[in-house]
Amino acid sequence: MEHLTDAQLESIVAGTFTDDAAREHVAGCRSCSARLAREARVELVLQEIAHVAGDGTGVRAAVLRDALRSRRAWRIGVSAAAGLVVVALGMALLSRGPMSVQTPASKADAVTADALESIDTPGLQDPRILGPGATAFPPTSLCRWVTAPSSPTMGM
Amino acid sequence: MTHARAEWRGLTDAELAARALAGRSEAWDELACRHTPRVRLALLARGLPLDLVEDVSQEAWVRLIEQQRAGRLRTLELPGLVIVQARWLALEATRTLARRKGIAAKLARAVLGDVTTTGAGDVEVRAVYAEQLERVRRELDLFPRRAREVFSAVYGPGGRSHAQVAAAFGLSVQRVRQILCEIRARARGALIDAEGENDSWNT
Repeated sequence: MEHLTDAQLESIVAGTFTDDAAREHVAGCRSCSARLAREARVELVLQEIAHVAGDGTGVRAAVLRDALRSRRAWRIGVSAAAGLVVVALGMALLSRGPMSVQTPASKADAVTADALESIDTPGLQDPRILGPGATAFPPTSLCRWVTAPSSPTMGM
Repeated sequence: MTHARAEWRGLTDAELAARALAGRSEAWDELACRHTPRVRLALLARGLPLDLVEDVSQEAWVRLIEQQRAGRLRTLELPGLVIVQARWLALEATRTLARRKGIAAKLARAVLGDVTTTGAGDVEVRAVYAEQLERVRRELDLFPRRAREVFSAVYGPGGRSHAQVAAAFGLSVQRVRQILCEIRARARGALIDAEGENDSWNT
């Protein structure tokens, strides 16, 4: 069977077409199936336009206007955001001046800071004033600076 | 048409919905008459097979009536609710088909993508649809006022038959059909152009 005509497709969309052979053809023909789907979309769009025109202030019209507006707003927003990023990057590059390299604080600096902080910790200034059974733990970082002198008598 | 039928036809959708929710079968019949063409169109536009469309667009009403009788239907917003119901039925049928035959997998994906997509996806599809509407509307604006009036009379709210419109405008039925055919051709062209840029219906 040959492909369906536009008129036949319109009849199917309108629900007035009863030719079984043509219906079977549509079921097995990709081209006619695609054309049928498009014809249905044409019909939907035309109905929508006619109804919106007849009810310009209706919900449907408002929904469609919102959809269009949100899409435009989204596009504008993305463009504006991209522009801002470019400007911000440019300003950051200009304001940096000559390149300099900052090294992270060394471990020794951190230990010194810990040690200074621990001076005022109660009980650590003079461990001998602690009562019986009391135990004070100095900051572990201080232990790095405690070295036991090697004693030849101990074989170290 | 019987007098009783004419009486139901005179009711608005909201009035019919209230009566349908109260269990009046005549209200369900009238609602089905009004909205089934729209359900068919929505499914056909998605590229679903014609036989499946015919089946699910009837079955969807049966499901809704069952829901109402079981007391699980509180509101009835049409045609949206019945279209969603029909799409779910189409999805189920397509899944079964896909399970039985591997060849239907692509179709199932198309329906799945449509029904299960929420949020941004829906917004995007709606926005693309709105753009397509705008294009077709611009094309329609190019037609003479008389042609646009004929179009509105046939497609607008309470759409009239070709013969009624021909009589109202003093035209022959053939001329009315010709005008509509030209409008459809122009709309089709605009839609093809729009779909070339946004392939949202089939993704």
